[in-house]
Amino acid sequence: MEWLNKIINEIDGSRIFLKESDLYAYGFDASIHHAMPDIVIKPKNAEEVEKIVKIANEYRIPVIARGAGTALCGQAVPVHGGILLDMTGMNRIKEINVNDLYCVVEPGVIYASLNEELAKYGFFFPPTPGSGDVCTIGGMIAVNASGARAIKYGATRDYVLGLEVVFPYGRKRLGGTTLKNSSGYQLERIIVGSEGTLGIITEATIRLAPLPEKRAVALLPFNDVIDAGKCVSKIISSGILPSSLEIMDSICIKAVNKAMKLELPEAEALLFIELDGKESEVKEEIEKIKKMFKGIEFTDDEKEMQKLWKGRKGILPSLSRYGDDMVSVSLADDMCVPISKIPEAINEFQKIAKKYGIIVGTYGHAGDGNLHTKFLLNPRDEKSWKNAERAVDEIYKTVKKLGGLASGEHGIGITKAPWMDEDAETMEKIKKAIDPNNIMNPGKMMQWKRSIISHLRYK
Amino acid sequence: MEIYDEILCCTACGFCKKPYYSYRFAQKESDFPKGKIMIAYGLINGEIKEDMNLVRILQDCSLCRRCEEDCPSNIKIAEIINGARYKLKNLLPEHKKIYENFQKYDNIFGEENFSYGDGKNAFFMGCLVKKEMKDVIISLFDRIGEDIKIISQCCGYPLRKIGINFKKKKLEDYEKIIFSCPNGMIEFNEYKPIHISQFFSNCSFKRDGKNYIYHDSAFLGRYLKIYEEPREIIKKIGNLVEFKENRKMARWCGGEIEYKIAFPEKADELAKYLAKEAKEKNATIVTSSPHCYSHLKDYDAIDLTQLIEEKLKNF
Repeated sequence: MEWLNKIINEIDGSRIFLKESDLYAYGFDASIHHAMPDIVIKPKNAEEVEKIVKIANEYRIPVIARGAGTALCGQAVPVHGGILLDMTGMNRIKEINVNDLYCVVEPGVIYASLNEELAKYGFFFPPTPGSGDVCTIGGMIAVNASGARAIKYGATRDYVLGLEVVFPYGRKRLGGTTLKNSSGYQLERIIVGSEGTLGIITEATIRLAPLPEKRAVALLPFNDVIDAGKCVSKIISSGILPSSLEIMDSICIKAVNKAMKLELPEAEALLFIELDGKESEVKEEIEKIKKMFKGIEFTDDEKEMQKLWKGRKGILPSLSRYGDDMVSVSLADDMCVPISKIPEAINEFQKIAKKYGIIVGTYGHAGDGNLHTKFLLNPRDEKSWKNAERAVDEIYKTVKKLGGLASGEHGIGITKAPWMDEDAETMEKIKKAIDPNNIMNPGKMMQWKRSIISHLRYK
Repeated sequence: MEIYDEILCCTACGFCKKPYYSYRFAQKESDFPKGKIMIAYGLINGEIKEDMNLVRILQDCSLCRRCEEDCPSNIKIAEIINGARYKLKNLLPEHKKIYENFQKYDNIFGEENFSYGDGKNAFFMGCLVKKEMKDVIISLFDRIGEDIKIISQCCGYPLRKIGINFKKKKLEDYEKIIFSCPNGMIEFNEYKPIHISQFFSNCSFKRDGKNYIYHDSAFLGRYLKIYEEPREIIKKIGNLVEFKENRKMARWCGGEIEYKIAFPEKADELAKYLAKEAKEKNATIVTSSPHCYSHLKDYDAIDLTQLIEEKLKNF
């Protein structure tokens, strides 16, 4: 193949992977989907990415960017084959500038590694995705990732000041390094959440936030999900802005206790409340919350806090150990509803699960209305998948009825494509203008027209 | 365990990549545990064919279980990878050699075995112990005057790790069977093996006040859960210093013989990493497995057996 030879001439052979097993391994992310690329390239700089995209555009070959492969909806799965770019080789932190409150990174920098470096200066990049120990900044930008601390600190999009992106027509710089910018279209923003369908991010300028002086965490069990929801509303409406307010239902509690042996209280629902800020402020807020909820105890012990967080962060994979022949699969994984609708949503999801004879665990960021449901099913049973697909549809209809959105922080990819909320026609027009040959991660989001249970990785 | 079911439980979250980020040699997806799990999956369900690249990928793991500590689903990653190796038809050339030696000489290095002394207790001297510290062992047991028979044989466990099945050996009945190599202890688990650190844990030792940094062997630690006895002995001799990652979070040093012969460069990288930290902490590394010792001996390192032999005061 001519295009392949051209690429091989441009890139060092040690960073090109063509063998079957390697291509197979690269065909997975953390979703239910799998497909093999024709070639994997691990570029070392933006110039190489530019060369590869130019050749791909000339020969109409799909190009898919991949960070750590932790995406949950198939964003990095090359459903039309083509060139998979493993961006983890571009992992330099180029600049940390605390005077101007920004840092410049390559897309393959690991979230936790960046925060480790920033902590030396007393700063951090706050979005806190659950996969933060392993995921890359490029991947976070591509799906507008966030996590437990979004209620106070926002999502990735709130920190992207500037980007360098390789489009099919060339490498461009978008946005800048200043905190404010009214200097034209906010083009860097259109890349956030674009899931590699417009261009490849080769550099990001990220806004920094000062690390809080103090953190404290409390765990509050409830015998009724409705009461947990009332508690969330009471805290939010009191004017306290927790750095995190997380909820997990009884199925998740059981799963975490079983897989991780953490001994969380067996209740109908658990709330994690995290406060952060100046020591005096945190103390004051603890007192306020203690007056609202008798018996609540906060801990500021680092080890104890880490243990509590471990339970919350481990829900998703722990659900895989819930039942004997059932495993946890990523379906309907991060819907967003108005904060006050959380208890209703959880109860509705349980009813839907019962109706279709499947088990659904619900947990998430109660403080910002972003819920996660995880489906437990027998992955080798086709009927299970069909039932799950119908249940997903009903769950999303319920979400819309409650005034919510299909995805809060994981993105659309394949698995949520039919329920995407953004205007598909406008998105398609933008994509056509930027990528007329449709080489950038084709077939995803508004372009996915098939069932969500195709290209399944489970056999 | 049916490894296919175990693989299905894996959500492919990728958290197992965490300890590998600092391993500079993780070049591609199949270098990470997740990649190997998925390749095992493809091999079993027939989506990919066995070739030498696949064999290398699956053999390029020590089964040290460090990544399992970061797996929130408690997936038995080492068992999956080892299970997949049993399904392979081909061996790496380096592994073929040790298998042939094992079949021919009952010693993976092709060296002659022996036995020494007699008694109600036994010391099992595996291939690597014999190679590295035969005289130290003989001198140690001569000194304490215990009735101990030293049996030199190959336990074969390194071969099991690379996916070779063979008939389990039988040992004679002894009151106690002492090992300094965790590989043999795992292979002969039903004989209630005791580690040399457990055998000498109540003894007194000459103090030298030096800094010793204890390296937890993955197999003595994460497999056999022996963490404290070696430390107790070291504390009686000098100052016990710890690696940043220790006990169940300890890094593997690169020393398992079957890994090191097939992937020498990667094994050296891992050793350098530990040696650097030990040097920064101004401490001599103490190993508790001949696999670790033979790999780290070019740095400032001593095996616990040697330390016991040198410093033992009263038995």
